[in-house]
Amino acid sequence: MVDRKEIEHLSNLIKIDISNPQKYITQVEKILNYFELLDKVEIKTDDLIRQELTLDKLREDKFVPFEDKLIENLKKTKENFVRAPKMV
Amino acid sequence: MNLAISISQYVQQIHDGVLSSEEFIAKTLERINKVDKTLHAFISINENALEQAKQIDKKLKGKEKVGACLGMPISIKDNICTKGIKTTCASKMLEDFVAPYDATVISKLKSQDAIIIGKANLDEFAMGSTTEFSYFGPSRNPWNPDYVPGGSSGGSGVSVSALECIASLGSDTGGSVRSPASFCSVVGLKPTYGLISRYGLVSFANSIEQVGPLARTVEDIAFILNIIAGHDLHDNTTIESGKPDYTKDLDVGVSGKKIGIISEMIGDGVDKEVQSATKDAVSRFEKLGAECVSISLDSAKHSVAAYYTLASAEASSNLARFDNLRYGFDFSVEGYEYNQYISKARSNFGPEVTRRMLLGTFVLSTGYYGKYYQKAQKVRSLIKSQLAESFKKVDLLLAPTMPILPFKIGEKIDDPLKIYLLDINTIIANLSGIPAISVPFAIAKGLPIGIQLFANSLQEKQLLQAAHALQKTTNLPGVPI
Amino acid sequence: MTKIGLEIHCQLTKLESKLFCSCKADYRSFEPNSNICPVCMGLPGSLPILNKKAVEKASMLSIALECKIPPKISFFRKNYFYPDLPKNFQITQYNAYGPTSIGYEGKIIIEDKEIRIRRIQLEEDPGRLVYSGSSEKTQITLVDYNRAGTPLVEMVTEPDFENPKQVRIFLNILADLVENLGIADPYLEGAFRVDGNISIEKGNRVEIKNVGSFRDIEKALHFEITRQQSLAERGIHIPAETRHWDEARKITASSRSKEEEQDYRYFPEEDIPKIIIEKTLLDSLKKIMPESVMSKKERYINKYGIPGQVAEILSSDKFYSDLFEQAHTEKNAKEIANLITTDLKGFADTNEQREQLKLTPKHLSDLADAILNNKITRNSGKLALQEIIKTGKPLSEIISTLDLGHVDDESSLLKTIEEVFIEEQKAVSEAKQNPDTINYLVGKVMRKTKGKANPNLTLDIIRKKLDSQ
Repeated sequence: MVDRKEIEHLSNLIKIDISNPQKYITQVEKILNYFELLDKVEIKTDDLIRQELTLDKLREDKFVPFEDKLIENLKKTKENFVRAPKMV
Repeated sequence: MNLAISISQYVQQIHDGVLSSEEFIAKTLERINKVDKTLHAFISINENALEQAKQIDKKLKGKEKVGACLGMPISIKDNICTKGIKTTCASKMLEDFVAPYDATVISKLKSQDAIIIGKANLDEFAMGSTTEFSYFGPSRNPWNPDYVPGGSSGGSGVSVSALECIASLGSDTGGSVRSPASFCSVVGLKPTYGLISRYGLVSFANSIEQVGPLARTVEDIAFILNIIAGHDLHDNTTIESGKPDYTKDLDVGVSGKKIGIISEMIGDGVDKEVQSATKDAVSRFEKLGAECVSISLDSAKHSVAAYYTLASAEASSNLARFDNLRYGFDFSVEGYEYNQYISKARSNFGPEVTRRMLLGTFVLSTGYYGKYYQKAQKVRSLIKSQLAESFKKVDLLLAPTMPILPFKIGEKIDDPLKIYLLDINTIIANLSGIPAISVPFAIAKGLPIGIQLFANSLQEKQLLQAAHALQKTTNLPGVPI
Repeated sequence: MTKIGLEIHCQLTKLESKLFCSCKADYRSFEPNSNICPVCMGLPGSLPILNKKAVEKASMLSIALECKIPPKISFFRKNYFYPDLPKNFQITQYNAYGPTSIGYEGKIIIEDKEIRIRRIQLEEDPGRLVYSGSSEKTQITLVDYNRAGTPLVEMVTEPDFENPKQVRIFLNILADLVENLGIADPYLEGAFRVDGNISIEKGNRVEIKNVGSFRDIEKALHFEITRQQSLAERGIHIPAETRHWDEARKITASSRSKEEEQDYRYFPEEDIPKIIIEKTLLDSLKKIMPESVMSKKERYINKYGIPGQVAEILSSDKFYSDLFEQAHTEKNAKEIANLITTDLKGFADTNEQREQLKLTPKHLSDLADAILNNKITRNSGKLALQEIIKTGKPLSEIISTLDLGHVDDESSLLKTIEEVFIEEQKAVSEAKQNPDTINYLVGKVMRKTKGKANPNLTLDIIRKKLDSQ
């Protein structure tokens, strides 16, 4: 199920350079095999219990500027842009 | 002056005028200086702590209004944002990050004049159960520095246990407050999901985690809970809880209460010392007038698999924002193409974080979503409903916090799955959202054992009352360091 | 058969704040990175806080497009990496696991063609990439996050369009609609963005992205159809691909293939609970919403007996329908509808013309009444209308100035008719046999009186005269 190609595919999706994929192959496979336990559970209902909110609990539509000049705390250029690497 | 006092004792002494915040902070800093080289509970110390203490003493002297915390030192797990002080999440990826805002729980503590004494060590991004995955090196158990302190809030557990602060805020995703509480012999609470604002808690598994307090007594936990609990406009997942006073009626005891002992958590795989401590706790509860029955939670068998599926999935998404473009660490974009740059920057995540990101990406990817993620969600719902059923029969549930005694640093680090399985007793509370607390109960072979209690959603008062009753039966030695 | 589908992104520019935080929704006047906060920057520890009005406005749009609205809506994360995406995921809505977006399975009718709306969803806009430096070598990428978090509704249609003209009409109606509902000003820069997908018979589906203004989509689609057709004619395979509209060269060009197909790993956004959309909310929104085009059209047909085609034109243009609503009475409704949809054509088509129009509802009403009461003929009415548009003078003044009054006076009409009878003796004798020739004679009278003769009266008199001869 988990081979080098799969790890490479995953690391590309998640944007992490992995220098030694072999180590992860074994570990990830072992853990995924453990997750197979989930298959053994019989689920009778499709209903999931999740939190719910009514509309009146939502935020009012008001413009409130952030109290500080946020960009000063971040990596930025002189003109207050954020610099990204070259896009291909 | 004794650092080993509780919050209520501290408050009393300040009010009596026999103690000042400055004295206590100075002594605390001295203590940190002395023991933290060994224990490594802290990633950073607040340089302004003493000055802040002086300010509070000034207000006290001038009979001005001072917040309930009266300048007491509290450590904060380094994944909770503190304005002006670095929040690193024990990761290279946030090595230089200084949050421009305070987490809601921090604002609340500050408004009550608590002093943030320092940021506590953790497993990187809260992923781990031993604090061995910190980029800054492990924390060590004050009961035996060769042993793990539990995790991921290891620094919190250590700092409270080793008298480096009077209380701490940690975070609990799969047991990360209760595990160090148990291994370090302090009290640790994971509150009901939604009781405490997560605004400012760096997300790892956002549908599961909660900020949780650690302290030396249950009373102290109640005190902190009063300050940090409550609905927050900055967090859509917080619930209206009515703001009860958790310190009130703490002494009512457990007479007439029904306590269910979770049978799946006291059998195979549990150290015999832990089993015997559990039996002891049960008989003490019975002596106090509670009725203890055996209860089975068979869905607990699948809880670890469900938890790690969901938590990894959420982590893979929550940590995607760390691409080092807007904040992070020093690494210039010059000469790099976009994908190349961010993949290289993100190779600085530690191995456990990387592992979980890979797992999380896998379980969410096309073709596997139904088999893993959706299945795990259904198992989660099953656990919720099974617990709801249980609470129709009993008021509280009981189990050991950790199935085994603390172990040596480095012992399990090469087998991730073994470490995951340590969470088997704590995880059901996270998946279902119910509150759970670890109470320091016994010392065996010089190592701490904690007993865990669970209550139904928003039943913190009942939970704290039972925990308090149990703690009153104990008479544990002080920390040996 | 050509099939075209659209994907429209419309910013909710009429909102005050962003979708998940209180920064300003309209970012256009800000210096770079000065309309940001921890939430829209996705700083560690930040959490999204949903904007109530965004849900209300999106609900109104769903109602207007006759969509189904689920009892509870959810949000999902779309995970991918890009510099303009602060969290490297976008909070959006997704219906693959069940309908949970703000609207689905709706429709809109344009000129008798039904266009099905597959879904409407709420989502956040990313920031903007700005390129600095001229050559490819020295170019650096700069990011401005002022727009990150701006509220969007995405609307996706089924591929029901058969030609680019229908697309243009649809987009104009949609733009009017969002303006009408107070949701957005679609003419603000970047506020209304359209992507299309198009396939011709036996061809693959091609996506067209990056069409700058929604007025350009018709051009882009025409180009693309031509391109595909010429390939098909030469027996060349039309590959399924994504192309972008090159504004400068006015062509579609193949977009550099984006690595492999993206796997967005959609899963629920649990920082936002499910939102319950109560029926009481929908009912109260319906009450405050301006009447829908559909409902207007039905009312015009059923209440006033206005013919379908006329009602269609009248109801689908807010300017016309507003004019109608203000001008009409029960009696002259049909006539006014006619005047607006036929005679106003060419004089009130553009925004510019409409702004300069001196015509008022009272003018229309007076005019319609005058025609119905036979004070002036329809022909004269046309002339009067043009004069009103130019000068705005009251109808009575124009009638006398242009001498448009009906010739109702039987004796003067008789005089003119007798003149025609003398001039058209051949026609007169024919008319006795051939009734159609009577119309010719009527026409002659109309010409002589410069259109002012009462046509019915003229016809009557001519008939009587022929009978008596």
